[in-house]
Amino acid sequence: MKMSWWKIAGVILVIYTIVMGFLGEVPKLAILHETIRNLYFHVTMWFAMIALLVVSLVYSIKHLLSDGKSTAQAGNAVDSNSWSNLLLKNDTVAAEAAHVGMFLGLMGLFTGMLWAQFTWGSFWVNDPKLNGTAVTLLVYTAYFILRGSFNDENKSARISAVYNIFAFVLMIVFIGILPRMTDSLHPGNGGNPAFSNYDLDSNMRMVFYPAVIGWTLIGVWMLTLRIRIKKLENKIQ
Amino acid sequence: MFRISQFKSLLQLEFLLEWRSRFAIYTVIVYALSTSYISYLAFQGDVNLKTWNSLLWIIILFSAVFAAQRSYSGQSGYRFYTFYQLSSPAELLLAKVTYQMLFQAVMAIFIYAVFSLLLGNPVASVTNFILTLIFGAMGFAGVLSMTSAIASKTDSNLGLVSILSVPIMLPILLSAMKASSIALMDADADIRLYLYALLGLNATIIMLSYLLFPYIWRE
Repeated sequence: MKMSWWKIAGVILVIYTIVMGFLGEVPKLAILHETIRNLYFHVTMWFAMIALLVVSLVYSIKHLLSDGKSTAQAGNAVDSNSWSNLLLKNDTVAAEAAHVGMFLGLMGLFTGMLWAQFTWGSFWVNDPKLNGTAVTLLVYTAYFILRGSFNDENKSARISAVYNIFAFVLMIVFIGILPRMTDSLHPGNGGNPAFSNYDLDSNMRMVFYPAVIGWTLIGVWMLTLRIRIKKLENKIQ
Repeated sequence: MFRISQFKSLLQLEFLLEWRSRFAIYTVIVYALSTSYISYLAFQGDVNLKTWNSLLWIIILFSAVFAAQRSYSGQSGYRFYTFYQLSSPAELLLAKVTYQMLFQAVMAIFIYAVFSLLLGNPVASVTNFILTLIFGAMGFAGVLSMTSAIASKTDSNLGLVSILSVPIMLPILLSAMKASSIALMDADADIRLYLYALLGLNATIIMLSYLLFPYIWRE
């Protein structure tokens, strides 16, 4: 096993997050009380998800840009050792990054639902950000279904990359721009003050930012593991 | 490469093909009529504004999905090779999107007319409402012509169009519903912000399709 510094850093940061997240000082606020500790998990996992989905997007773009060249080299036939074929490498990274991103998204969703139950009184509320989550999950499920509905790997890779880019841009519009046009229960929207205004004091910042980096690094580690599994599966075939 | 003359003749071809196979238009019309009639029977004339608005948009959304499913269905085999040789992807895509946008906008207004006939017309500002309908339906058409192109390339595309398109149509649907509910209740409300948002979404969709369609089209 390759021990890279960033894997160790990721583990240390996540352990630090968990320990400090449960034991550290947090501001005492009405309604939120101790649930504010969820900020270190719910929000940060979503940051990590966005990071991985961006990785997925970048590799989809890379795939489309390199597509023409590699197809010409491989003579449009699927290589026996297709991993050496740059074409499917980019596509595999894109798909696996979407998988890990979706996993982090689900974790963020569950932690968020718990938080919503204890602060807003219900596991699911009609809120622009929650709708954004639902759409994100639906879009990536559709992406996986699309990937599965081709017989030809090259075609699957190309068309799914197109859908990934198309859906990602509209999803960002949906979760990034539209919520700002409507009211939301989330902080920073519709008259609710943003966290940074009152409670992300220096204590919380000391946990919050390391947590974002930590979860992202763990996500990337999961991604490299999944890619290695894919590589091995490819070799066996 | 984009030639106006090519675009024009492709657009003409779209209309011609649609006119020749009129059953396709009738399918969508009958779909719209029957779903509106079902809602009329189900509500027995007792329907409030919010329900009216949501039902209308749901019917428009699904008849759009329904209509789009066949927009690339004739595009396989020999016809595909002819198009492939004669025109660039950009020309083909823009012709298809333009046709779909016109068609969906007309269909949306048609569904609105049927709805007003059966369930009453509670709209306060008809101009604003119709503008919202047109922009919303155009957005649906843009997303749908892209996703149905994607679905037409798969090996098993039954129902795939709706799976692929419904999540990414939600931003359009929600902003259009918001704008139309304002137009429903307030006669002289300013909904320009929402209309600009819809126009922006439409522009984004067309730009993205323009950039990405060549990759789908290549075989």
